[in-house]
Amino acid sequence: MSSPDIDKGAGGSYARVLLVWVAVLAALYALQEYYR
Amino acid sequence: MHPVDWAILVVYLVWIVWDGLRRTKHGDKLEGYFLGGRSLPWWAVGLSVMATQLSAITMIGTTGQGYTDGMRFLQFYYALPLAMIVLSVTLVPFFHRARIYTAYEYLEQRFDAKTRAFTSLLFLLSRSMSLGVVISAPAVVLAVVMGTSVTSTVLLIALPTAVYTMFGGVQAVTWTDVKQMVLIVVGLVAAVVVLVQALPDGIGLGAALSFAGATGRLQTFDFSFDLTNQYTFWSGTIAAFFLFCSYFGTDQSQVQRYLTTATVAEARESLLMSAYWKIPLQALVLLVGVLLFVFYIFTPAPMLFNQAHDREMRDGPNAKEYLALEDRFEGASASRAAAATVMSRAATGRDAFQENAALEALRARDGEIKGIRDEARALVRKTTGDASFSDVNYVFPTFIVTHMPIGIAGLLIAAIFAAAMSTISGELAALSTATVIDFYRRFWNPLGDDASALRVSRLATGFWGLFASAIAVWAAELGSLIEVVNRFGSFFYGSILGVFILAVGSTRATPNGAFVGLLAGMGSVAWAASYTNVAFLWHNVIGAVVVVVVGLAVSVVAPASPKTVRSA
Repeated sequence: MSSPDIDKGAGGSYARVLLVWVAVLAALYALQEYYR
Repeated sequence: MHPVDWAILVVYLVWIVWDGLRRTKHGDKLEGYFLGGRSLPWWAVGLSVMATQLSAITMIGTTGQGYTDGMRFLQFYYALPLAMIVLSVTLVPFFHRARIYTAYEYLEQRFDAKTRAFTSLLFLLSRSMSLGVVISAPAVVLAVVMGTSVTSTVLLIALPTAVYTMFGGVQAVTWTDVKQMVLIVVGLVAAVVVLVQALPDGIGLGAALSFAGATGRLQTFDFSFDLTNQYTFWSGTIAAFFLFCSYFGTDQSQVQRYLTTATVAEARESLLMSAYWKIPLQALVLLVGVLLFVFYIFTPAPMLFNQAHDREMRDGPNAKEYLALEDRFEGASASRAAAATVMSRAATGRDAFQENAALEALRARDGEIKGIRDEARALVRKTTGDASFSDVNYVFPTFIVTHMPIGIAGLLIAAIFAAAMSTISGELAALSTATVIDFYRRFWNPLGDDASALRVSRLATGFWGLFASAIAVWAAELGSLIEVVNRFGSFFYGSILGVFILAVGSTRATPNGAFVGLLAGMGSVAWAASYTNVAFLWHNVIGAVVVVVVGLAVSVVAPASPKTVRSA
């Protein structure tokens, strides 16, 4: 694949998105199990 | 609906049209009209992307799903943040640096004119049809709860939207979307507050969630692997990933938004806003539905929420059977309320044995009520001949006009209008852009000036508004609105994504390979839809994979001299 010239600063943004994503899914799973 | 609520709705409609029209700058240039001069701030674009994606179907259909099924629909959105990251790395930089107006323009730069024209045509067909459904969904429901006709409700939603989109272009769309998004969130939060306050004394949010959890309505993870089930963890993370990549990466209604930002970094930030907020926002919408369920444990609920059908059944040939079902429904509802009350008291008194017994009783009575509602719906279908009848979309609007305080009801009806209009405006702008850039300017009048192209653009917006309104009146006859919308898209989405994967992912892909691959992908989806029970979400995967495999195979077997991928 040819390089789309990814901006160097973007990696941190993606890492934050992934972190929030995991936290949100974990909270939803905890809510499901707590009130099961 | 109370006159005060009507007044709030009218004030909203007048204000949003006025605001849309006053926002336009440089609207005399094509780049200003279609792309806001490529200078809109990322946060406004990000909110606009979210507002376009959150339609009135989300407000009425998803809250209804929360009421009947709970939060399992949330799984549908689990892959969205991943798709946003992938798009931010791949397609967004390509599109932004290519200085294009439409996503399909890029396919001509990479392949040829026929691939561009064909994908753009597919977009116009599928998006205009689904836009009709997007209009009809709230119109059908609001017509019943507001006491208006479907046609006049369609026009009340579509006409103001078409007016500010026609004259204001994408700037009007974006800035009205920002306000509409705020109104939607304020409306949803107000609904949560009103619902929690309306619960009986001693029943707080914690107890409400325990009732919802006891009846399975807080289930947000289903790890079973079933290709015929839309709402599992695997459908939501694998199949929906392809849908979101295609929708946000290749659908002009989304691509056009991030082309309005000044830089690639701003375009990326606007997309990542959805990555952060889409799942929590959708959870809020579903939570409203779940709280509606808890509210109706303690407040007498209608057996069916569609009042028009309810009246028809009471006067119809099967009235006796219907009233017998209603007797059973009322008995089971009273037993369910008693079980919930006992469960709450036992939890407060820390009596685990009694709490468990009440929990089992609550589950059993809730199951019984679901069964009775199923029987009632089947009876309506048999009596009216309406095979697709469902009252899911009527739950929230019925609650709004029967139990919401005056003023807040008007605010929420305005929020449903806002959700519809924010989606319609973005899609009308995209349909107009594709019509003018991919067809009018490409084939009919490539040397014309901006003034003539702008006249055609406004006419195109008006035409698509009328076309979608006509489809909306027809689509009112169809049921299961939320799935109908997604089905329209899923026939093409995966295959179009496959062409873009070939475009940016392979230097060997040839124009003919991409075109043959696209046809093969669409054929395979048509086959899967006709001859298998595979859930429609997976059609996106089938389409994309077949296009890439066939496209590459044709490119290898019959190589042309491929154009070099434009690195912009």
